[in-house]
Amino acid sequence: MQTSNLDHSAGRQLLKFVLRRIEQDVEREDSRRELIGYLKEKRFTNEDLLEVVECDMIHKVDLLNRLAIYCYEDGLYDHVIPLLHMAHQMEPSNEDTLYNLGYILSSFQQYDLALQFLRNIKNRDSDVEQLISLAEENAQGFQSMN
Amino acid sequence: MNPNKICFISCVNDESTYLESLRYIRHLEVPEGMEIETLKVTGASSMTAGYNDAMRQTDAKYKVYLHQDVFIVNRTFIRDLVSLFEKNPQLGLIGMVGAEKIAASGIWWEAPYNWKWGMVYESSPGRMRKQEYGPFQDDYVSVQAVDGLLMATQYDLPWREDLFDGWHFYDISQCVEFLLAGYDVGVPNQSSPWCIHDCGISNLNRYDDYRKKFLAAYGKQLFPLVSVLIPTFNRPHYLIAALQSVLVQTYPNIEIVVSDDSTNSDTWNALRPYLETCSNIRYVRNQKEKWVGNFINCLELAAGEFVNFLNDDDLFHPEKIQKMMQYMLFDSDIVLATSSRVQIDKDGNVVDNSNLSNLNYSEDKTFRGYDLGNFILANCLNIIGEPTTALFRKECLTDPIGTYSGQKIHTLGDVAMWLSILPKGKAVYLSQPLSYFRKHDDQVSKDFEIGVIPSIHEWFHLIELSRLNGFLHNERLYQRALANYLKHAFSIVEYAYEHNKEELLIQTNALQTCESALKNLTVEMIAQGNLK
Repeated sequence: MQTSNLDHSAGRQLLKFVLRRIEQDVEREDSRRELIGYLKEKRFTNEDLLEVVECDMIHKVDLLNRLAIYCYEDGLYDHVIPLLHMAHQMEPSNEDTLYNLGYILSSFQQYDLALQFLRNIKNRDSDVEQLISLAEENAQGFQSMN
Repeated sequence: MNPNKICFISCVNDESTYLESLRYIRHLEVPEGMEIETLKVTGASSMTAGYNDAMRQTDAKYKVYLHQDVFIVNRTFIRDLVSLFEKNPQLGLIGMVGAEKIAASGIWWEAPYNWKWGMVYESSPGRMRKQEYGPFQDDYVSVQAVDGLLMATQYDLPWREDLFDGWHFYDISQCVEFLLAGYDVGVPNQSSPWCIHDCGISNLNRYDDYRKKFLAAYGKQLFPLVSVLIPTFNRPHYLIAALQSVLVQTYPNIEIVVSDDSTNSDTWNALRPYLETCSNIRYVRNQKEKWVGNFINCLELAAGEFVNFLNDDDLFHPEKIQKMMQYMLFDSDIVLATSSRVQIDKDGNVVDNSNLSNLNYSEDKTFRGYDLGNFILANCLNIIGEPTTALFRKECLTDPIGTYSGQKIHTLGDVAMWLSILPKGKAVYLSQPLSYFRKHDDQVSKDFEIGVIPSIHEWFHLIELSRLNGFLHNERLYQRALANYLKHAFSIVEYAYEHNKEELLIQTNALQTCESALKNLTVEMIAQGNLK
């Protein structure tokens, strides 16, 4: 069973520093690699991430979206939805979060759920429209298959 | 001094946090031709000692003293800072957040919200948050104090390691040193915070010791003088207790004037040791008439902008002057501060308070002076309290003590004072009891002939004369004042008859005054159509 390392203050400080560098765009790419390494080693749990973002970060929703993208791109899929879920809870109308949820859920073939988020986007550019069309087509395809 | 060099200085006891802070410094844009230096001070005995050490080591004109847990997130920090200093040569020191005026406690952040400026991300409540005051339009706003999380200078002044040998108040001290040297201290205009201060819940060990040290060192330069005036008469035992309650006041700029009406030298003998050791006590023998003249004498000798009488048998709460001055410092419209009070017996024990005219508010309240005066007059009730209770702006007391609009008022001399002061502004009522009113057998106010009967005349005069000064303009309020006055006067008449003192009523024409009040009330009610 994976346990939290945050009880240990040095661990918490390490995670806080890495997340803050990503948030503040200080040595961001190196910090991204460092964070992904820690998550792959299971040095920190999802709860650790969420707790530090909640308590110690400033631009929480932007950071959560960014972390979700990093995790998705590095194949750490278990982290993605909780990060985006927290971002959505904090700011339900944030369009980056809605798009990212739509995108990720579509990629997990959860088209109906993806559409619930995508349809809440008010300012739709071509990327959003394209993603909605794709999700709608696939959702219908799934229905006809069933 | 190298004008093209900036040095970042930190006292360090946590290497990993400092290394993190350095990452942010290294990430800053460095303007062309500018050189950047970082200095780490380890093992410093105090912040001032560490900063002085570093200050001597570098030739950089610009120095940024920052805590090891501060992360500068404004990439153009160096350019912004240098251009601000170049444009404003009078500006000696800047910080990220600060106060235009330091609170009476000496703590900058206890200034009211609209007296604080700047912004920073900080985590003192245990969670990161944006601390933000303002906004303002200019490049910077002048302040008296900035927080030590980050202080940047373009001139060098030694940090006061002779006074601040720990980790608190070195920052506010340095701000005052810059001000005393003729420089401006400021907070720059930030569109978003320039820094993150990841301090967490602060360690305030010995904070209060250094706060007191700060007030002792700079209190007289920062805060206006308050004159505590003690008229005394033949009760050295009580006087010394009263005096001691002033000497322990937490407000740092107080003078004490003792004006002595005594018939012997006991008071002088009791005071002498204090006069030898406390330079802020002034003792004089009163040469004017007894009692009221003694109050007048005190006031004439007062050098303070603010005044608080202290009856020689009463006591102050140790924080009385500080708490009242906090209001005076930040609101120039407030002319008088009073509070609820506690009654004590001859031995200083707290006794039943119910006979005192305290307002039962759970929090401090500010009133228009006229409204508070109207309440007093309409209820014949001195809710401001005895002379001990209130602190006021001396310039606002325009009637000579013992008079009101040219009429002699002795028994209600305190009410007359309040009515003279109140039309000039606002009054604040502090809910915390801040003075102790002593109840004992020698009180003049308890004497029926000297202290009670005259109040029949004086309340009536105050009601009538106060109307000339803008009080009781509302007719219903005036009628209520007369009706309550009659109730008050008749209770005294009733008491006189019950205690076989009716002769005093006759001798003093008290009943005629009641008759005049009744007549005025009748005329007023007819005029208002209340009576046919």
